[in-house]
Amino acid sequence: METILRGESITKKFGGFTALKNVEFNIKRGEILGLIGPNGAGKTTLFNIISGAFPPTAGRIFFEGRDVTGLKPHQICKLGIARTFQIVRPFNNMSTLDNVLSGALFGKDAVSDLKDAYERSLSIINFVGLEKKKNKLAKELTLHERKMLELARALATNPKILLIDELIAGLTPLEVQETMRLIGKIRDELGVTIFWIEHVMRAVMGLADRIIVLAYGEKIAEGKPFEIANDKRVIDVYLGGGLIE
Amino acid sequence: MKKASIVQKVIILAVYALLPIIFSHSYQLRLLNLLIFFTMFTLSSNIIFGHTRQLFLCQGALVGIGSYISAILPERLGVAPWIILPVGALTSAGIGSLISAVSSIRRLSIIFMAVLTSSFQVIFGELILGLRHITGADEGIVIRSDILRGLIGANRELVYYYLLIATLFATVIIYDKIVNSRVGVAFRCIVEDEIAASFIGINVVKYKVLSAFISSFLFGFMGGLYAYYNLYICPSMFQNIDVHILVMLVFGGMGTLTGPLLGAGAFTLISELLRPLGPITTLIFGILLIILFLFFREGLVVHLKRITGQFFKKHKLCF
Ligand SMILES: Nc1ncnc2c1ncn2[C@@H]1O[C@H](COP(=O)(O)OP(=O)(O)OP(=O)(O)O)[C@@H](O)[C@H]1O
Ligand SMILES: [Mg+2]
Repeated sequence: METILRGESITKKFGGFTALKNVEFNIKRGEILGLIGPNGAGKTTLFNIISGAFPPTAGRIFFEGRDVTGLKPHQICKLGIARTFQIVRPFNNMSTLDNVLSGALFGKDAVSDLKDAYERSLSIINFVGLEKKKNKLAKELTLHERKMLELARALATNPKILLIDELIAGLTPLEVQETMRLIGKIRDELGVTIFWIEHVMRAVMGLADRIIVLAYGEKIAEGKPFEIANDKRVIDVYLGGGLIE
Repeated sequence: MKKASIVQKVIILAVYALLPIIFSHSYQLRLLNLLIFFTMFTLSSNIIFGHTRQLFLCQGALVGIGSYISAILPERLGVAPWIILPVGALTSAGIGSLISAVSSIRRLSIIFMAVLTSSFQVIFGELILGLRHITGADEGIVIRSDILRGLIGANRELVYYYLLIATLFATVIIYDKIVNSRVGVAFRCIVEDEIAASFIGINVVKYKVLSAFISSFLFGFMGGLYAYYNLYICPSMFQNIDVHILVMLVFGGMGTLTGPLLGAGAFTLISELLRPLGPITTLIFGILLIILFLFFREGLVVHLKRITGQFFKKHKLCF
């Protein structure tokens, strides 16, 4: 399978603090790649760099073979890289439908016709299961619904790859199951490649094709879920396996 | 455009068109004309502050640039005033866009934007005083070119009134088109969350500059028209009008169409009543602005809708 997104020795310093150190990664088209690691490992920072929030201090990002390092967020999005935020940030005073519509109107292959954009938005709202909430304001939704909304808005930009930053933290077991099924569907039915940060190990282990482990800004392991679960260094970092249930 | 919104606009237009029947005295007509100028300034302020939250405390300067260019150039160059009018408007638009581009690329906070734009307002004032031989400094300029030269003899105030409401309605139609288009969606997303907007493909700088361009163009255009209407301009006319415009905007309702119309109407009425107080009025409006920002940020339109909405709910009526 061909590589869709590749990071070449990504380093990020905030003042004197090194948040990422020579991190390499490589995602194949159609893959679900998990990204795990303890708090402050640099996971979100890596997503920020890929999505253009800020440039890396050193290193390059290649998307479909093209160097995209240092592009602005809207340019990255228009190329086909969408993201969600760890702390959700929907447009609170806009309806669910309008939130998703804004993604459809401006993302990759932006639809300029409002009617077409509405149709595309409605089908995505159905896809994530928010059809009953489509006219509700985003701020009236529950946390789970807002997370689904954030996913829907990102999908509306029609991405080739989706960066998901912690979707299931704080959800009930039932919501976790639904969300995992949805992530699988995004890859299988929409054909979107997924790079996925998550703290809930069991979820990542169950769904990801491969996993990368970050700790203190460095990549300490990479491999298939069962390899990661038995990796000595990973177990050490997670306090003797306390987090691997 | 929805049917209800067309009906609404036709009614508003009819009201404006019929006002001179009641207020036919030339003093009253002059007040009506000033009302339309202020309504236009408020609409324009709404585009930049109401829809993209860019605080321009140099609205007076942007109006003034249009005014001075329209006052000075026709005679100096020997060209018709209506050719110069868009030149003045485009100059204001260019400067407004530049200010917006600098602020949004550098991501200036609203405080720094206030500092930047009010400095520009001061520079504008100094420039007018410094270029005494062209601008007449404090004495101002008497304007001899009038776009309605051919119509002298007809009721000048009335002719201007209809010219102004034609301009107002053209603006309302264009405003409505913009707000209900893709651009309007971008504006809403930017007001909600600039960062989230940029990650769904919205070029935030581009839309902010676009909004500054449209708004500053209107300021400059109305400034030019004001010069030709008033036949006299001086620097003090362009000072302190930011406070007045913002009071009208916030009082009426930011980000709405009827807000600026109502806000400017109420404001013109109040300032007419306060006129005997002289220079204190600016102080009063300053305090009013602070109170509005603290307690009435949603504006009259939202409150009215809520009250009428509750009324209709209670009486089981619907539209
Ligand atoms: N913009 C920033 N400026 C300064 N320091 C930052 C910035 N962003 C992140 N950091 C620091 O970099 C480190 C990595 O943060 P990051 O958010 O990437 O961690 P994370 O792996 O996503 O953690 P979590 O699991 O808690 O979300 C942290 O120590 C954080 O304080
Ligand atoms: Mg994080």
